[in-house]
Amino acid sequence: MDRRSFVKSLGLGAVTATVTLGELKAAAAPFKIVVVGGGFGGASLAKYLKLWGQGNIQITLVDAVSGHVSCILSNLVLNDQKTLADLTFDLTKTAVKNHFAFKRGVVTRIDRTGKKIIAQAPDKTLFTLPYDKLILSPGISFIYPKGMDPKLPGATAPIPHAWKAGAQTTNLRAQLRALPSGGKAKAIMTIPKPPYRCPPGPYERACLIADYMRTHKNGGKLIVFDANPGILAEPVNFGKAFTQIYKDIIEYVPNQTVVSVAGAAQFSAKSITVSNGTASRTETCHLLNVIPNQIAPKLLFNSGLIDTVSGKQWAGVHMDTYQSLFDPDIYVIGDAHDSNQPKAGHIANSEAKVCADAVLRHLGVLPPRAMPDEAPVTNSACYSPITASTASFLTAGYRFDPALQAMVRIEASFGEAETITRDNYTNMLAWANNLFADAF
Amino acid sequence: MRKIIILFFLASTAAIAQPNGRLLASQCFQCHGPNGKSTGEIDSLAGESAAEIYDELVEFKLKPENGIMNLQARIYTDAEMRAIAGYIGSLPQ
Repeated sequence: MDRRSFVKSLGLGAVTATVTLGELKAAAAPFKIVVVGGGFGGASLAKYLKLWGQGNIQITLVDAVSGHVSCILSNLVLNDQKTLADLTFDLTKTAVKNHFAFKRGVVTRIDRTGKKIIAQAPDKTLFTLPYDKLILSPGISFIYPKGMDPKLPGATAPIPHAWKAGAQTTNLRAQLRALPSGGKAKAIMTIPKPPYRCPPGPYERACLIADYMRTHKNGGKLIVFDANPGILAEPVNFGKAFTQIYKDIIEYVPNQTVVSVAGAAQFSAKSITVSNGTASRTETCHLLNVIPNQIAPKLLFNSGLIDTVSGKQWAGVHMDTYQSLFDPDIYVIGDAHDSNQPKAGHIANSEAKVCADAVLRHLGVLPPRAMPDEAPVTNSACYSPITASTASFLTAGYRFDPALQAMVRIEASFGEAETITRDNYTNMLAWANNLFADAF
Repeated sequence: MRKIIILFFLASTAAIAQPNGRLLASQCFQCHGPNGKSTGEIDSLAGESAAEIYDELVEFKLKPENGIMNLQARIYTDAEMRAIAGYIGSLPQ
């Protein structure tokens, strides 16, 4: 049926009542969708929205960079099991493969009234993109402690966070290589308060830094200052890693908040002061990796998508659709929204699919959801390397609870690997490859 | 015309009484690959029948073990497992 006869058929009695305004518009011209952020959330959203929306949907993905570097597996760059090139995905190719447009630019403003975004291209010129629906998947920003300068270049900053994979990861890797050998190396890393990106990630990083020190530097000391009262994710396996596998290297210290840090140059000495609320402790070291507390990107605050009056630091959304609480034409997926779900790449992909389905229903391309039969369900699964050849895993499912208006963790589905195994390491690589293929 | 209208509403009711198999099944693809085609150690799902997928999910869910698929299978209701199996069973190998 061509468009003309489809529109004509809308005049048929009973069928007419079921046709929404959305469908009428779909028959006339494709809906304009703008997706901001080409990570696991945004890239997956663009792919599945196009796949399921077909000719009704015209998508432009916008990102500041054309090569997305996966945070997933990026800790393995530290102990030489992966390179950043292995983990970099060309969004121009992803866009061609999955039938959407890609435009490089930094989004500077959202004009909610005019329904358009304003962005700055790499050549500094401004461009605008109008939208019918805007999906934001911008990731995280940091709240830096005193002494950590965010303006320094990531590749050479004295105190890297390496919590967005890329130049900061290369920097941390270079600092690891520069550690003295003979067991004399002293490294320190800090773990933030939740919510932060990838709950097991900091503990995994501690293991892989210790693995590198053992393999290449004859050991040494790694102090892990955790702002939390205990290991937040996979406590059994990371507990075993800290107290058994790496007991000669790792000193794990809970309840330590970063007060200040100092470091003059990439390869010179650093210092840190932490406090547990009653006593402070100052240490000097060769390498200092601070993972700062995290917050939604400024764009979301500037666009009125966060309930700052209530002290929120993440975008408020309807949890069954990811539609903003403040604007029905904007959706926020991935790390930047306020959620019980973890902030991580795998579940961002899962959320993207629920959101893509919801956007098509809101546009009238699909019929409304029948609840509770079609209550959204998401899943989180990840593998955590413990050494260069073994790993653990963590998994959980979440289901929308209409009474709570929240995604609630399904306790029977929640758990970590019973043991640290080589099979888990093999499965980790397979999991990541399939996830990469599903997103990019 | 009356007949057509009745059929339309029957079809419509049947469609909305089922969980969304396509969306639910897509949540398997992070680990099992796009459209159920895996490239590594993890099994492909494409090519398996709906009955095979459903039986495997039930077995994973009920088996008293805590492997990653045992935990994952415990996310879903029986109706959801049937919907997932129905969609994956229809995928080309």
